[in-house]
Amino acid sequence: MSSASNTLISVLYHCPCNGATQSPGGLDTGVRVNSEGEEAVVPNASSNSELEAQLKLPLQPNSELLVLRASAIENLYYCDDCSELRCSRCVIEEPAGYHCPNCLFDVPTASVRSEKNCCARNCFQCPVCTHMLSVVETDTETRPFSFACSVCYWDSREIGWEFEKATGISPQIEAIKASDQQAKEYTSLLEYWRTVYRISATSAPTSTLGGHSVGGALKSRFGLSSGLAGNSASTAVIPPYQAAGYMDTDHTRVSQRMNIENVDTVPPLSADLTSIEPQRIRLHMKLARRCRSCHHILIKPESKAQATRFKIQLMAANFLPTITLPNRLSPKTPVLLPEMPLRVGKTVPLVLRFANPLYSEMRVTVAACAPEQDSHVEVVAQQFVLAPFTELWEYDEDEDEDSDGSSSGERSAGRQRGIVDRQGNRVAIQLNLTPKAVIDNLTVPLFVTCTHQDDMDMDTDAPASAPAGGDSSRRTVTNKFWVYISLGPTVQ
Amino acid sequence: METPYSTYIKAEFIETDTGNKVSRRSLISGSQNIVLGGKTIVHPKCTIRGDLRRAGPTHQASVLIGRFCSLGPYSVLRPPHKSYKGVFSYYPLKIGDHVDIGENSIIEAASIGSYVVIGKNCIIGRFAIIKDCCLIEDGAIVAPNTVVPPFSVVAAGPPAKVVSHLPESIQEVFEARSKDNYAKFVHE
Repeated sequence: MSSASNTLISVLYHCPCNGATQSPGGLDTGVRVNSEGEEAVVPNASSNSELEAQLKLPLQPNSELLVLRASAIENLYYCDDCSELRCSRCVIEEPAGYHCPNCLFDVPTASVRSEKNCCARNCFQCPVCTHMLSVVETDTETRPFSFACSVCYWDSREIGWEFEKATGISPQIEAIKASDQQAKEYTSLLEYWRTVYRISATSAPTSTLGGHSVGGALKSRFGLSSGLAGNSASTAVIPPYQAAGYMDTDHTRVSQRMNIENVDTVPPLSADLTSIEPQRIRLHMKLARRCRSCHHILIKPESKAQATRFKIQLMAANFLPTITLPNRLSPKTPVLLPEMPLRVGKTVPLVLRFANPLYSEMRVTVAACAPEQDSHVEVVAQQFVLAPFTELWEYDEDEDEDSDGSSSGERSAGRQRGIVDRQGNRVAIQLNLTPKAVIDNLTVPLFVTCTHQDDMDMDTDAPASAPAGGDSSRRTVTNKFWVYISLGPTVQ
Repeated sequence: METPYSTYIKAEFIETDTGNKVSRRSLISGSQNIVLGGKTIVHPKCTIRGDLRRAGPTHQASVLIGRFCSLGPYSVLRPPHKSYKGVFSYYPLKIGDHVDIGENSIIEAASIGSYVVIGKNCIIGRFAIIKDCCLIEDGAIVAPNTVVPPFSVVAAGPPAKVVSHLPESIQEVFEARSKDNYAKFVHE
């Protein structure tokens, strides 16, 4: 079995969101009831063919949008308040901590702003190859340390950066840069314009939100009657800027630069690298994710940079069944994956394995779409039940794989037609697939509905009502989603 | 799409009592300085240089590998070396659990975290630090002294750069993958 064909096979789950807006009309998901109320509508076997006829594909299988809207289950989230699937486009991201990717030092949020999103410690990027610079010892006697890049062998001595100590590089760099006239001029210019802005912002009437009262109070204090009069009065208070030491006297070059109309040619990057300085390394952000509709937190990472755990982690794989294409059930049984590439007109059995991640039983209904031009799929086992997941299966699995008799025994036990194998919380079902056309990537869409009883206590219910009702804290949760199974090219 | 079963000839592999499966055709030197956590597979022609260790009186392990790891065929694991203040010495190479090292890769890192997948034909430079839950793509050349932060996908090179990030569930995905790999590596 070549590994190349395995990489073409994928199972993608479709998220019906619109990206920017909330969840969709069209698909009815997350029906929530209590035991006294009406039951959730679950399509039963008799009406499955009607369901098939009604099903409308959200996206054609060969649509380019499939890449955006459907993804593997690892990338998807699940909001348990809304009981719906969420993809990375329909969650709100917010920062949950900043750290430097080089030294993995947690940066407090206040320092992030002041250091302009860069690492304030000894983390610099090589100007030539953008790799991280490391402090090395050189053989010069005074100032024995410098930055060196281990990839392109660039050394900071080329631009004159040499340090006396290996630690505390930042203040040493400040000292080197302080003697630079242009840098000093720049900082004093910035300070001047900041003060101008501050004064003009407080005296001028600010727009709409809350500006009226402030403007009114200030106006009355200074005895000003109109906004215009106020502006001119305040700017007259600040003296015009005095150059701190550096002045560019080349007026022709300055005026040329200021009067540029079109930029047709771009000069080539000069080979002179003596003036390029290493940049500081930018900080990385840890993201927390929220559901867009109910603002429930889906992902909350631990704030420490090194920690890979999550305080809250609601992934789709923990709530929805994982669908895979098994290779074979045990080393002795035949290969279940159909022969690649698939041939047009030849009906092959396609085996799909569903795994239940929940601690309660799940009822699954699989429906194929109404006749497609690319392929025809017949779902043999349309409705089946998945046993709950228990950790004990993890230990028993090794024994099941070794003994080849057990799984075949299940198969021949005359269970539901179309179920190939049942092992713990996993069920393998059979579909009969007939490709109809020669295409680059055959994609089979399936509509999966899964229902389970959620035993969680509702937060809103008062504890007094729980014992009387008994079942009042249980609710039936239904999830419906489309799955696109890619199987690679078909040939004649 | 699920991992296929791969069989091996029983006589070709040594199976230890902690479940490690070490190929007899692997090139292991200094085995007393190598620690394998349980259930690790060492494929044929994999080189582990346990003999490169810091000269010292105490017995120190030079290569420490965690559980459910898989060291691909023709890969090379060697501890990194450095000359510090005129003294040349080797530093230990530590690898976490659930690490999958692809074939023909050369690993000279200082430490590799857990749940890391390293592709084929990679070169991990000296004293690189790869944190947990990372993916190093095939053919990536990671420069010396690089720090690869958690959940990053590193590709190309030299020097290899972070190209994208992994989803939050990748720890469970890699853990299931390495356990599945071990369970499906059976003798015929």
